[in-house]
Parts: sequence; C-alpha cells; structure tokens
Amino acid sequence: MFHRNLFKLADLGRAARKGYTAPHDSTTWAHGDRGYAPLELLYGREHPDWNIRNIGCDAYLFGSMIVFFFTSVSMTSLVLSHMDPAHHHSKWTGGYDTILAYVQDGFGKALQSFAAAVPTTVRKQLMQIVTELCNPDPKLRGAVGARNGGKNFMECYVTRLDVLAYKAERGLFEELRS
Amino acid sequence: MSTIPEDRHRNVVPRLRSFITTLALGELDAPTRPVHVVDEQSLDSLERNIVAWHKNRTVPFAADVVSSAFVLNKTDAVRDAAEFLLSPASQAPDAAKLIASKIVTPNDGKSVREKIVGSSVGVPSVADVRSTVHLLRQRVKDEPRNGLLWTELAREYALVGLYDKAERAMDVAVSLGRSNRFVLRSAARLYLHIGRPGKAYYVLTRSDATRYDPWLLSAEIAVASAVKRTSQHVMAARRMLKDDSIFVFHKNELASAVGTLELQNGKIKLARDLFKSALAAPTENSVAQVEWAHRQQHIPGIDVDLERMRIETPRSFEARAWDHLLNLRWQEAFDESFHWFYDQPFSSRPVVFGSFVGGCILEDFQNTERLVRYGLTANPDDAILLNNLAFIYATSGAVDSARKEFEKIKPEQVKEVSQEIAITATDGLLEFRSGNPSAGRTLYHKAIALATGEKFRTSRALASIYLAKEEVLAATENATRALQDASREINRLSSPDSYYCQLILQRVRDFADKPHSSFRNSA
Repeated sequence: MFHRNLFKLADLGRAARKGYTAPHDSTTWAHGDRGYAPLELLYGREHPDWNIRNIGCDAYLFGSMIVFFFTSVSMTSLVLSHMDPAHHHSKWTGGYDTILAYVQDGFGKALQSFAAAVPTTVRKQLMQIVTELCNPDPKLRGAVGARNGGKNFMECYVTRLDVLAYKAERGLFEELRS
Repeated sequence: MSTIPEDRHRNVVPRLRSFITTLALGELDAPTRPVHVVDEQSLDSLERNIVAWHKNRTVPFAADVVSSAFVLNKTDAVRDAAEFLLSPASQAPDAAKLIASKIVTPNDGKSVREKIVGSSVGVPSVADVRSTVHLLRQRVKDEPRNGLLWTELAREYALVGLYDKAERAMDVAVSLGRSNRFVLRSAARLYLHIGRPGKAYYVLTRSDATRYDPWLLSAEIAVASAVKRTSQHVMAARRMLKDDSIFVFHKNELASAVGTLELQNGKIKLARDLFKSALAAPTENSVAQVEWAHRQQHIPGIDVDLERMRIETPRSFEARAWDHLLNLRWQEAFDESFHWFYDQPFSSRPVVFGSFVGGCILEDFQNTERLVRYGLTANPDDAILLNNLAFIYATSGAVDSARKEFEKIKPEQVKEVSQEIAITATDGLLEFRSGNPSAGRTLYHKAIALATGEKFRTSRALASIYLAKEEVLAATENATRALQDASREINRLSSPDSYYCQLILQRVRDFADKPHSSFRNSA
C-alpha cells in the first residue's frame, strides 16, 4: 500500500483476530501457502497459545521476507537446504519437538548463508533481527522482553529498521563501521 | 598381568558417535512412513509461480519458484529454473544457487552416507580435539540454542578425558533437546561413561519421546538394565515390536534390548526370536549384542544370521573382534580391536580387549602400548588401562616406566574383583622384575587366592602362568612346581581360554627347556 512515498506491507489473506473466529481458522492449513510457511507448521506443530501461534507466524514471515530481499529465497527453504534430506518435513513422522534440534542446527547454518549475502555495514543488525524473528522455536521469537506475541512485539523492529533506513538514506554507515 | 576381556553384562546402550556419523548410519531417520499430505492451495500457488517464471525468466522468479518447490518437495517441475540459477550468466545469490544445486543434483543422502560410514576412521590427536573444541565453542557462542553443537562439544571433551566439562556441555544439550533422539541417546551413553548412571536413566525416563520412539525406548531398557533398575516401558516395547508400521531397522535395537531381558529371564526361545528379528536389519550394536548373548548362552538357530550380519553390517568391529578371538585368529582380533576403538575412541572396552590380545597372546608390545596410550587419553584414570600399560612395560623390561604407570592407579578406581586380581598380579610382576622374587611370589599367590570360584577360573590360570614365567626367568627352585600348577589350571579351562593360556605357557616352557634362548621381549 503506497501513500506519500511510504509503503506498508499487508497480508490479509489469512487475517486473524484474537477472540474472533475467521472462516479459514478451521482449515488444516490456516496459514496459507506452505511453500513459505514457518517451519513449525510444516512439521505439524500448532502452538496452543494464540499469541505464540499467530504473532509468531507473522514474525517468522516478516523475518523470512528480509532474508528473501537479500538471498531471493525464503528462510524456510534456506533452513531445509541445510538439513539432511531424511529430516525434510515431507519425510519426518515425529512431532516438531523431536526434530527441533536438527532444525535449530539448520537455522544456524542458514543464518550464515544469509549473512554472506548481506552487506557488512548492516550485517550485524539484520542478523540480530532475523535471528529473533525467525527462531525455529516460536516461543523464542521476538526481542528479549517482548516475546510471546505481546502488545509491543513488532514495535522494536519498526524502530530498528527505521534507524537502518535513516542511516542508509544519509550515508551514515561509515560511522557505524567505525 | 593384563585383565581378561570380560563382558558378563552387556546391554545395547547407545553408541556415542558424531552427529554426521550417526546420521549416516541411518539411526536418526523417521521410524515410520510419512503420511502423504496433498495441499491443493500450495500446489496451485506453486503452479502460478511456475507460470510466472516461464513468462519472465529472471533470477527473482527462478529463485522464488525453486525455493517454494524445494519446501514443498516438488522439485521435478522446477528443474529448468534451478539450472538457470546455476548458469554462470544468472549471477544468482549463493543461497539460491545452493538450493538449485540440491534440485539439479538430487541426493537422497545415500551416497554421502555410504561414504561416511565406509570412511576410514582414526584417532584424533589431542591437538585435533583441542582445535575442534575451540571451533565448537565459537559456534555455540553464536548458536547457544543449538543442542547438536553442545552434544558434539560434550563428546569432544570426553575424548580427552575432560569429564566435568563434557557433563556440563551435555547438560545444556539435554535442556535444549529433551525430545531429540540423538541428544538423549548420546547423553545417556556419556553419563554412563562418566559414572553418572542415575542421570543417564533419568534423562531417558523423563522424556515424553521415549514412549514413542523405538530408539529411545531401547536405550531406556538397556540403561535400566545397566543401572540395575526395571524399565518402566517393557510392555510398551513389546507392543512396539509388533507394530508393522515401524520399519524393521528402527526396531532392531529394541528387539535386542527386549531379547536380552528375555535371556536374563531364562526364556531362550523368546530371546532367540527377538534376536533373529533384530538381525533382520541390525545396527552394529545389535550384532554385537546378539554375538555377546550367543557367547554367554548358546542360542540355537542364529549362527547363520549372525555370521552374515557380522560381515554385512557396517562397523561391526566389536562383534568381529570377539568372533576372531573365539576362533583363535589372534592377529585379526587385535587388528579389529583398533577399528573398534577408532569407532568408539572414548570407550575403554576395545582397549582392554586389544591390550589383552596384543599384550598377552601376541606379545606385540609396541602396538599394544600405542593402543593403551590412545585409550588413556579419554580415560586417564582407568585402573585397568594403567595396569595393562604397566604390565606391557614390565614384561618388555622397562621396569621404571612400569612402576611409574602402576603407581598412578587409584584404589577407588578398582571396582571389580577381576581387576583386583590383575592389578595384584602385576604388582607381583613388578616385584619379581625389581629383584624381589619373594615379595613377587606372595603377591601372585594373593592374586590366585582372590581368583576363587568358577567365575575367575581363567584369571587364576593366567596368574599361575605368569607366576611360573617369573619363577623360570628368575631361575628359582619353585619354577618346576609353578609350571605344573599352571598346567593344572589350564586343564580346567575350555576354548578359547585354554588355547591362549596353553600358548602363553608353552613359551614359558620353551624358555625353561632352553634357558639360553632369548625369551621374547622378556629381557
């Protein structure tokens, strides 16, 4: 959505509101296209807590989009590419808890692939943001102190990305490096 | 004298290998066939992406469709996009190329796995281990929630005998991977190794995954036996063994574990059926377990399966080593003990086995010393390894070195009578070699007296043989009588113990008959 040289991202295809039931809530894949889905959903894990499940999913997809900007692929595909084929969700039959350690390992390697694609000037900051947003464990998504999909869950990311945008616009990254 | 490799109690306790090796051995795969999920919405979306790619033929479209297809495991339809990304002209990001390469050269992991499983293994030097520890510590700083890294770190610490650090690293791994098969099985093995059996049992019993995962269930039963407790899940294990939806390979250690319980309960026929089903698609641990069970108590009808699986099952070093020993192929048994050790470099069992075969039967002191030194890296306080090293040094004439190693033995490390017998006999050997035959004789007699009963018949025979050897070498008036005593003890033994004891005694006799001939390595 564009307005006065600003744009906002929106994805209303699977919109949900706490305390209300949407028509798609009862479908098996309430979170849309599995090709981009968070890892826990691919392995059949739907966290019982609404905040963790829904806000965590949004956080992951937002982080995955940052990864996509630099690598042209989603975080999900990047993590799976660093895991053994036997642990691909299409071949795994245990619950998400039983595979999480392998996913965390793939995630660590995926972050390295992402880091290699990001300019050094913003690498540290973006790595931190993506690490927080895309953690394979949905309970751990978000900045420390604002996890579990709380009220101000996304606010800090708006600020942190604003700072990066501000500095990029004014060519201040040299200062960051020093 | 060296301790006799004994294994009166053996359980299919999980092996502690690196993640990549365990994965390559197929022990971390899904135990059942996955349910095929058809997700029309995702497939429609992929179809639209494919159309968009064909229309635009640019890197962003190619990367997007490749990424999505890889996640959905529908890669055949996007091969052209993957090839496009890999072409030099595309200048696609490396991450996109990585995924494209996995589509263009699909690899189900089989060839890589075969390469890892069949690769020649060796003992990493202490410097290698330190370097790996350094790298792993760097990585856990970046990825503190990666349970695999903590498990690998714990294993590396264990390789150089840093048990406290190994335990702490494994505690972190367990806290991160409470339901993970690799983490929990590795933890159980490590905790047992470092003398924390209760903890080994606890980590398995408290995990919900243990009730559903045949690999964890088999570990729970094995560890329960090892710590002399009763498994809480034997009924669940029996049900699981009848569950045809679980692949045979994934139930093999469970069948071995339950088979061992049945054997202990005297139900030979049930045990045989379970061992036979374990041998249908076994791990080397299962082969070794069945081999052990067969050694303890002849189990009719499993020879053929066992023979075949000893050869066919990758890394069946332990089973092969024992088979060689039982069939009097001493050199092969010794060689196999090295392979067994390379595969399990923190374990003292292959070293105890190899040092007996190499030190007592083959008298290959140089290679035996090498093996024991390797073993002491991970087990610096192991009383038996220190005893065996002292025995090798003393027998080869390096009495001062022998005494130095012998004095490192801590009494609290001596846990079994068989160990006490061997250590007392080695003490006697040191006294003889230090010019105190009287003190040496007393210690040997003490060792022989300790070895009373059926259980220690071979130990008694060996102690008698080595006493006779020292009497002959010292040219005492007791030599003839000691030789007769040793001969009498050997007559009470059965194969293969009688064979190697006879072999060792014959060397002593040869020297006694021709005292001016050189006694091999016994100067």
